[in-house]
Amino acid sequence: MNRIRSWILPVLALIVFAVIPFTASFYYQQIFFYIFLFAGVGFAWNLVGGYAGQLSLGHAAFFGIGAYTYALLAQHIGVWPALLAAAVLSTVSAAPIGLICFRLRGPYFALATIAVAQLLLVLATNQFKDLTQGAAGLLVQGMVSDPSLYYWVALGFMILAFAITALLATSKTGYYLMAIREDEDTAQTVTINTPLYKLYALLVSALLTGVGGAIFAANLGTIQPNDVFSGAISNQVVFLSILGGTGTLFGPLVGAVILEFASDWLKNALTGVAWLGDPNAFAFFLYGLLIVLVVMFMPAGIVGTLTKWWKGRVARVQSQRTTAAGV
Amino acid sequence: MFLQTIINGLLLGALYAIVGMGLSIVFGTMRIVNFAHGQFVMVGMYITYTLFTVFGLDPYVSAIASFILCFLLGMAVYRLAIHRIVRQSDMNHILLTAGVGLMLTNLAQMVYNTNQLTINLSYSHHDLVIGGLRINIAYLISFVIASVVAALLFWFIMKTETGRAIRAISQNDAAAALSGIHVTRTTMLAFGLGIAVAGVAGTLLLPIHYVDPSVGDAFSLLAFIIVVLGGMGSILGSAVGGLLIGVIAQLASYYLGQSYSDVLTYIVFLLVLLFKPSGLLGRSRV
Repeated sequence: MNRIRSWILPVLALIVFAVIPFTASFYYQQIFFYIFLFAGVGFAWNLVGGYAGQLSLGHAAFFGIGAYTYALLAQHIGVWPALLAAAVLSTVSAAPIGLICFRLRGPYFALATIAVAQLLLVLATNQFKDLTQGAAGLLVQGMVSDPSLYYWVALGFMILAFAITALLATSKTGYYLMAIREDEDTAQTVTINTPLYKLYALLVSALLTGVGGAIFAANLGTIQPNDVFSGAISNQVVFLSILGGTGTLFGPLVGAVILEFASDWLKNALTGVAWLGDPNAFAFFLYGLLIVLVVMFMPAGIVGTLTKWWKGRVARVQSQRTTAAGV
Repeated sequence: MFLQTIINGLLLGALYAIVGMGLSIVFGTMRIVNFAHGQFVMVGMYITYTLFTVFGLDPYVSAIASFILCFLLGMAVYRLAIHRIVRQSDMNHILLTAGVGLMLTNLAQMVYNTNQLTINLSYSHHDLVIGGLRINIAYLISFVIASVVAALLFWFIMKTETGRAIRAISQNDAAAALSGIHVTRTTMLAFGLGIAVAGVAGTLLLPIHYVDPSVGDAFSLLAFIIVVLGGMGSILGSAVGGLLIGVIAQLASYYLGQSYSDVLTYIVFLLVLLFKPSGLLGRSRV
């Protein structure tokens, strides 16, 4: 019974998502495209940042490697082989990055991941200009014939990312990762090979993030290093996961839905307000405020807080029942 | 030309050192992982820019205004937000201060747009020539003030009662509280001081560096690079780290090209993290 009940919500969500494109305009399809894409990358980040508790602030590195691999190869070897290549290359690149960064802990790990992503941004803009066209931008071959079909590509990607992270998170590996998050030294003493499992989480995470980057690039049509390697991408992924709830299965999706809709609504609502200046900037100002408030008052995120509240309620109801019967 | 590049590097590095020293108090000593440090440097730059364009105030005079305003701003941010999570994990420090940084960046963008702003001083295009070496006047004044600020800061932390209290909290906050130190108030003061120094760094940078809302991100990372390179908890180390990064950046951009200064800085940072995480002067002082 419990198993069936836990499937109700995902299946309902899937039905809604499948109906949306037949009723929504192209504008809203694009919003959903970004929701699915960033939710998928959020799921991927959640493996490392949420379950294993390693705050990566440089996931743009894998996002950008995936995007540029796809962009450079798609016209030569075909669209789907290029997507595969993007997945492979971002995974392979995660090995040295992980070996370097995982030697560090806490804030030093976070700083190292930022430095790696920034390094790639500078290299892609300047040193590898011949390859990437630098800030001038690189044309990217589309993945599907009709732009509205990207909705399905992103939805498929998100489902894949969810399935993989859900499988991993609820398996033995997931519990090992959570043990590492709670106390890495203790995890090590109870014979968990912590470097191996952290690297494993990062490789899977990088694979999915690279695929996300490739889809992002294909939908955009033309990319420059700042679109895919920037800190804005890294932060976006982290913030939506924090808002939804790190280390929860659905957190990144909830965060992505709220952030995309809120920022879209804000931008439309504020375009006429002159004294605010740039409405985009005001939206991001509120975004920052939201992060501050979530960290201060709701560090478990939306899904985490709701789950805690629900579990507490169930426990209270049960304890009332048992005492009533026992007395 | 090699000597000239070194001198340019030291002049620039003195300003980097001030950026790093502010973070050294906040992160190195008080263990608050402040990802918004660069954004406070940006605030100092905008304060200076506004005072210069509206009142015609010389930037080296408005350093005092930067110091006071950023000191108050820093204490307010600490009291309103950081204080509530200061005992929580580093991850929460990072996320909260990143949120504060995002707020400051976009507030700046709302007020000043994304234009790269610079100020034009009458004396900033004059060079002092000594034995064939050219030293820009604006750089030189910034260098001298930066040295004075660094010396004052070092004296404050090492010699005054409050400085001793700050160091005591960084060693053991429970014991510090037991010996009668008001931990919350002192931490707030130390955070404000770090931010005030960041503001002054912004002021000193403005005559030689443009300001736009995105400079904060770059300075945040730079500040962490300097603190880690110099060694955690060592204010003197941050000064050395800043000078070193300045020289490395200038050498790289002169011999390899402009964009290599960032590349080399990041690579040096990663190497230090990997092979000498305690930094150059780690744990020896302050």
